Order: sequence, then structure tokens, then C-alpha cells
Amino acid sequence: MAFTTRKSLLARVRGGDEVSWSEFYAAYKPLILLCGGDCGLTADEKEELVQQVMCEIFRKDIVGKYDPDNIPEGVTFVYDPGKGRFRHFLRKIIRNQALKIVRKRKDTSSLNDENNPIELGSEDAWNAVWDEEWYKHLLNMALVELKERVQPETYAAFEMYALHERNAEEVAKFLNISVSNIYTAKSRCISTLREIIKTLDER
Amino acid sequence: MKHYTKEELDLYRHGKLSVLSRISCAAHLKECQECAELLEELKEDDQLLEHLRSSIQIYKDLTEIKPTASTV
Repeated sequence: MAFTTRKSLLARVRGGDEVSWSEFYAAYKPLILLCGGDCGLTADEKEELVQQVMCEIFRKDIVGKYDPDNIPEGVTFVYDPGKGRFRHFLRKIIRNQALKIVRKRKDTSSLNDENNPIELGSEDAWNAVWDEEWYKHLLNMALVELKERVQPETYAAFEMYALHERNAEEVAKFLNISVSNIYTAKSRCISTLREIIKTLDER
Repeated sequence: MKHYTKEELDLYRHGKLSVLSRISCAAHLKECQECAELLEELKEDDQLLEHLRSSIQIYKDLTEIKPTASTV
């Protein structure tokens, strides 16, 4: 029996539902940080990139109203599905904001290739990097959704055996189920994960 | 012909079946294309799990990074 009926964050964003700043921030910050790293940004610059991207997305709801470092919980935004796929919208914003940061740095210091590993000016290079980072993001989101969809015991067996690579017999003993059940849980979870990934990827 | 489930094939490739069951499964796989393909699918599952573990670790590391002095 599946437990959840909660729409995933991506489904709500893509569907034009109201999404809270705090939830969005927590879910997308790692993706933005990773992209910033691919662009050769420093730790401080990556944090700046997160703030700039978030401000851009929540622009009309926060700019001029709140301190970007201290956004209240209740602030929300609604994505206009007419703008196309959210992932493409986000990809463009991250690239543009990363470019702004790199250009700002170029004004004050010289850059070498090591500090700028991907050529942000090349859309193809950026898109390839983005696809990889988006896939990682997708997998993490899919896992959150999987946890809500399957029985807690099924997820626990999957997590311990398949994700943490613990011995099947130990997991079975710990959960008080058979080894065969561990393999059933793994198979069920992988099958559900594939469905979730496919659905999320279509959005 | 009785086909094997994915779970049974997973048990087989991890040596979790009894000796007799293992021999029987190996013989079946030599003749059954359908089950042989299912066994291949398990390799794809392994790849997905590999990507999953790596992505989880990357995200875990990111969220565990402490702010640098300049960002505190």
C-alpha cells in the first residue's frame, strides 16, 4: 500500500502551485552549489550564487521587501508554466547569475583556466554540466518521494541493504524479516524509483 | 516453462539460493532468453543504485559543509 498522495515539489512548481521559499531553498540549494562549483566559483561565490538565483526566482515576492539572508518562512512563489519546463528556466537563471559573478570577479582580479573550469559562454558545455547535476538532483528528489510511497519497513530494507550496502542477512535479522523479503523490497523500490524518475524527468 | 522472478534471479546471482535451486536456475538461464534478459536488467539496477549512492553522498557532503569564517 502506498502512503503518500503529496505532490512532489517539482510537480507543484511545474503545475503552477504555490511553493514556499524555505522548502524550495532547501531542495534546490545543493543543485545550485554544485553548478557553482562546476563554474569554478569559490565557496563565498557559490553562496552568493544561491542567493542571487533565489532572489531572481522569488524576485517579485522578496526584492525590496526582505533581507535575502533572512527570508521569512511564509514567503511563496508561483511558477508560470507558460514559461516552459521549470528545469530549463532554472538552468538559464543559474547560468546567467554565475556569469554575472564571474564577470564581476574579472573586473577586480585576473582569472586563470583553473578558476574557470567550464566555459560559461559555451551553451553546449553548460548544458552538459547541467544535465549531470540535474540528474543527481532528480535522484535525490526521487528518493524522498520513494520514502513517502512505500511501507516504512520496505524502505528501511532498501536503504540498509541497497543504499548502505549492509549484509542481507544482517538487515533481515535486524528488521525481523526473511532474506527473500529484503530482495523483494529492493526490487519493489527500484521499480518504483524508475517510475518516479521518469515522471519527474518529464516535468 | 516456469520463469523466474527478478527477486529470485537477484537471489541467484548473490548465491542465496539452495544448491539444487541454483543448479536448476543456471540450467534454465541457458535456455530462457526472457529470464536471461531479466538478469541483464539487474545489472542496470546495479548502475542505478551506484548513481543513487554517489548522488546521495554528494548531497550529504554539501549539507554537512560548515560555513567558512567569511560567511559566518
